[in-house]
Amino acid sequence: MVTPERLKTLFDTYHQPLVRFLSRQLGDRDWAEEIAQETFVRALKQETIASERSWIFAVAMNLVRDEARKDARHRRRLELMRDEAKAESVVEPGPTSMEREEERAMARGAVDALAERDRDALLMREEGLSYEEIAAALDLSVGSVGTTLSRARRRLMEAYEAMQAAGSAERGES
Amino acid sequence: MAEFEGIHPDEGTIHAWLDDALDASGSARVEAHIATCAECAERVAEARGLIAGASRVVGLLDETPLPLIRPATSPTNDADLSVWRLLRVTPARAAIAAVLFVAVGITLTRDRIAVESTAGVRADSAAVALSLPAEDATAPMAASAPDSVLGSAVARRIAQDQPPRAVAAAPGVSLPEVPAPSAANVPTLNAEPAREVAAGKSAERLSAVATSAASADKVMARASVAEVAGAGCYRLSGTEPSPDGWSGITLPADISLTPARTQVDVAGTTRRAITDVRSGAAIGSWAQLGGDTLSLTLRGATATTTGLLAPNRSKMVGTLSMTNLASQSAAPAASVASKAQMARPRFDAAAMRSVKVVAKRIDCP
Repeated sequence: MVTPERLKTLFDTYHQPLVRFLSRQLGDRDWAEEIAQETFVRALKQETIASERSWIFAVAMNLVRDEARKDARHRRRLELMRDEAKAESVVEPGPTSMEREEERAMARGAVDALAERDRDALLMREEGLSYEEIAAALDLSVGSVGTTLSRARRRLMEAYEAMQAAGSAERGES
Repeated sequence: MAEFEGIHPDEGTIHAWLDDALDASGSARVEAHIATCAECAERVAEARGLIAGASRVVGLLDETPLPLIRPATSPTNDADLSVWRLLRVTPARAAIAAVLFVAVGITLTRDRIAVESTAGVRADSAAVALSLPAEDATAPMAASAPDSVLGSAVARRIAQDQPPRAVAAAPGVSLPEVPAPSAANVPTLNAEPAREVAAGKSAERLSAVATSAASADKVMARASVAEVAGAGCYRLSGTEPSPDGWSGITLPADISLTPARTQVDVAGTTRRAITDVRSGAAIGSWAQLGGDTLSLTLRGATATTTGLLAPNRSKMVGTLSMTNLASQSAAPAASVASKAQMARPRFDAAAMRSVKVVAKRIDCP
């Protein structure tokens, strides 16, 4: 079993990148924190962990998929309620926060447009995982990680640029 | 990854090479091939642009954009270098600290108002913020990001004391070319005004803030001249004919990437105007991303063409993709949706047509 000291080291090393990775995946910081916590609880139950970073990211991704399957409908309802609450909020966002939200919405849309495996690989790479770690976490061959990442990056930029252009056109900018 | 002897490395291998994921012999083969293959050198340049651009877009997902450029040298892993980690400030702890800071500020202010007020007015936290003298109002603002009501109230108070300044767009004319700065010394446009506002602590300083904000505008104006790496005139040609219906641009085309700003996005990236060299008409916008990569958006009556250009020797190369606007404007707005969702344009991959392009610098007329 992983000792508490070892768990603390794992937590200190991987908690921040894991929460960021999950937040980017899910678009929900609280949900990301929950998944990260559960990931470290599972780590505690392991006898040994060979490749720590790929193990942690892989377990987190599996938890996301399990939970998404379990209560997708529930989450969709919560998201709708949250959006409605935001729309009805009396606090008017300033122009800067509106721009920020639009940029994030476009980035979110572009990331969501990616195939699941492409998105996972890209977000893991952005957290500094090596090709070997990505391959282990996603059950890919190391040789196919470059192809996966190049496809993910190209499609992400095509989607983002198209959304940005359409957004500018809608605002009537020259 | 493809093994290759004299044949072109595939795109995945190029990305793996740029990501330092190839072994020594694989890297040596790619390097040797690229040194003699202009086509692959262009593909490497394009891949660099995609890597930088994708990192930037992923960073936009974060509530606080991450630094786009990592330190060049890293004796340990990045996480160990984080000041937040050294200080052991986790996001949750930072949030708690911010809430405590605001709570203490409100409590102290409430006590003070209770003592000073002859009417013994009781007020809730938002009302306290509204009635604060400006000398106290600005200090909580710097640390009260989680409290949007208080922040909004403080903002209104400042707005009352300080009328909004008119911001005029920079003229849409070409400025003399300047040497391209490295990515590391590109200034962050929004940082100075933000620091100035955050530093203001007295009512008297509000006017000083206004003055320094005006100075910040000058700093930004200087930055816009110093930052225009990539600005200038280009002849844009396609490695294949532009598809039918490219109303935004017909290749080859002479375009001018001007320093005139059109907008600054959340990551501090400034978008600038593109004009048609012959007619002088504004035809789109451009931005410099990380790694000297340029993002181009060209707009026509019925189509928009976008893409990335990355430097490769004396020219820029990349892919421009056209999206038909008619296919996007058909998206109906949901009756109940957040503003962000309503602003999110529909992306129709099937409507895109892409062409590889080369941009060579030409003298501006």
